[in-house]
Amino acid sequence: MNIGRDALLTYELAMQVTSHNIANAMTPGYTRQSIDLEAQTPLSLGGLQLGMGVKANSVSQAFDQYTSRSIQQNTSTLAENDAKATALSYLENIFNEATGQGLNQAMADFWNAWQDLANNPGGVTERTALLDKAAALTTQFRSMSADLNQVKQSMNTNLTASITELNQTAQQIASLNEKIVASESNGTKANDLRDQRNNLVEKLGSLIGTNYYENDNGSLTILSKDGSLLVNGNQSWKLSQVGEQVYWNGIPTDLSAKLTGGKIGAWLDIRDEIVPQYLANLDELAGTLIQNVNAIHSFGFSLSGTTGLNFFEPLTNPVPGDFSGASALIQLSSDVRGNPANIAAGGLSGNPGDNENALGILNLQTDNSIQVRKWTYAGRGTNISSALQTTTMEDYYRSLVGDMGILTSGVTQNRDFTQTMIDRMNEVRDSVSGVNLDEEMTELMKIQRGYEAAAKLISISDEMLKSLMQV
Amino acid sequence: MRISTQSLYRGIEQRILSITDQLKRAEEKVATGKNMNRPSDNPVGLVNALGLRNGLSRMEQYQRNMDMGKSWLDLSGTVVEQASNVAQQAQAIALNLQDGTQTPEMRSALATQVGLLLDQAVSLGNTQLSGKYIFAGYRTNTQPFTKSTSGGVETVQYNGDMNDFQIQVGPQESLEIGKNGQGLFMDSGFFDSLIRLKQAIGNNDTAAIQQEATNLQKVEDLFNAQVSDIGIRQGRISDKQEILKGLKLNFQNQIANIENIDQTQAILEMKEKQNAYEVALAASGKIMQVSLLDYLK
Repeated sequence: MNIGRDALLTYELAMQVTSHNIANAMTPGYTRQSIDLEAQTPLSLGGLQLGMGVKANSVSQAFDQYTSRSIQQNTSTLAENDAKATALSYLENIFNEATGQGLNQAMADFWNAWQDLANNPGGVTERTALLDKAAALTTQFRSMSADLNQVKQSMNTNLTASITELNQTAQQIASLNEKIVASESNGTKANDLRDQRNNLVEKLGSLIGTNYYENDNGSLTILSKDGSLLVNGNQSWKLSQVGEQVYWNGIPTDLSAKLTGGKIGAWLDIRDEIVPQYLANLDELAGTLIQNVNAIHSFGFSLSGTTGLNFFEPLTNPVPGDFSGASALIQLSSDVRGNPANIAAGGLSGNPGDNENALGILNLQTDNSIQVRKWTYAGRGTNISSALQTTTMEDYYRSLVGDMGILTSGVTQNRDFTQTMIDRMNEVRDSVSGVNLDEEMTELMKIQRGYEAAAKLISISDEMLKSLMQV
Repeated sequence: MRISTQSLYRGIEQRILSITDQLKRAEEKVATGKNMNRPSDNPVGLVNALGLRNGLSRMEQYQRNMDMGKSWLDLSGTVVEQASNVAQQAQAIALNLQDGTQTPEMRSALATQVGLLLDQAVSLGNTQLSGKYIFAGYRTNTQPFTKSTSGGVETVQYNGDMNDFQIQVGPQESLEIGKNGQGLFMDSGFFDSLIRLKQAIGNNDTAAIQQEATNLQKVEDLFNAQVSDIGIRQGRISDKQEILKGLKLNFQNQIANIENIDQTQAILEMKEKQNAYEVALAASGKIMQVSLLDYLK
């Protein structure tokens, strides 16, 4: 009868494990549990070994350590690429020339307006039209520059949010560490707590690239890829943001060039590398345009015969050739703004038929000997370099658009690839750790039958005992 | 392989999402008629298309420039031809008078006629095209030729400058479409010959009349050479315009090849994705209905 009772209790336990599995069939990151049954230590009786029934040894997790770790690491890559792809789709819109509007068109309109002026250098209509087109071009430059800065700004905001999330997650992991160590001190596995912690580790990885290892007592130690300790035992360390800088544990050493992976890595890449690079190149283009147009314009003559006039407001950067901020500042000069007669179309005189200077300026459009620097911001802007290119201004801009497209499609492809990989790995992990309801149902029936049989055992023993009593 | 219930559902979800995304892109292509809706769709194609579009816009501009150039050349061709006629008429009068036998009345009438020819010549030199003097060099707002009389002596003065108007007809390529009046009308001696002829007729100076007849022949030859020079430039513009027309068509085709979709193919592709979507939905619906629970009674 004791065997029957133990069996009933064990089956109840098994039932509980199975119902726990069923209940958590849809819980993300839940690892299937199973009960390990074992025969009781047999009783030796005069050379006979008598079975003493069943006992539950432990409840264990079907945990696939290797796949879980790969998923965690790829989740980090996925989150990084995903965040980057989202930000790049904004940037891509800024450079979206696919619709036929945009800077490319504005530049073409600008040059065509010079052509029209060259055809009729004395014409007020042509002069006014040129000022309109030039103003449209400068507006386009400025709005692109503002949009780029806006993206940069929102990356900073995203960074703040992600850092807050990171700190919270690290803290939660630390407190789970503590609970796991406490509940496993007696040798049992804290299955559900471990599941929770795995989820949080994955979440942490989606925020920043990490390395982690499990200590003998079951607690996890987590470091960011640059080696900053985030969690150890029941302690966690915070990242904090001051302006554009990121500090670890309040120590004022900027880590923003070092933190990689995850969303934080992505925000920093966009903020400190991609946006500044495009901004620098846009500045370069605007600065080159200002400089080249002004150089020719100032030698020409306005309708009233004055010379030495600027077409665009010259940059005031103290170092010559420093075009930073040019795309944000480009505007018509005070010489010509609202004063179309001051456009220096004439090369020799202010005569209304003199178009020599206009011809000179419009030749800039197809001039392929213009020297433009192409900037590269590597290492989050810690390694800025430029390569001198000899090209036309239009080709230079086209190469920027092309670069943007290639960058975006590369990141998007990476993201899709990582996503597919994670999907596959999830399947692999779930084939070990996941709950299959049909399987659990079968298990349930098995337990039910076992339970019924054990109950029958008790009732038969009882009847036998009764028979004995009636003797 | 064990398949967990969750991964079964997740798989269904992912596949449906992925097909929906493909369906959306296929639909976008059909709706916009474009292969590229953002730079990353086809970066290399977009860069090429941008270059082609710039080229196209420039070609259209060059065509506009040349249309204008043509009207300048057409008009100056006509004017120089008429000026040549004037020179010819004056020369005929001179030849008529060189034997010195005409009556004074006749001479006076012919002198008046030469005077009229001179006026006509001056007004030809002052021809305007949409309000601009075409023989004034860069001083297009200034009447280039003015006639004045002082002490009974007529003179024609040039008020323009010595520059020839140019337009751009190709990248870094310009074409002269205007001639300044100095070379054409002053240096050639056109006006001076007419003035001197008129005086000589009045004085019945046969030697001078003969001299002017010869001079006017030279002027006429110069004008005729100028007319053929203008003709050559008109020909150059026509040729260039023809070439540009062909090039433009070529560029437009290339842009269309890069940017535009093949409608049939795009619609077929969309249909295909739509089918795939429906099949996925139907299959998923079926799978989601079955469970061991249905068979346990």
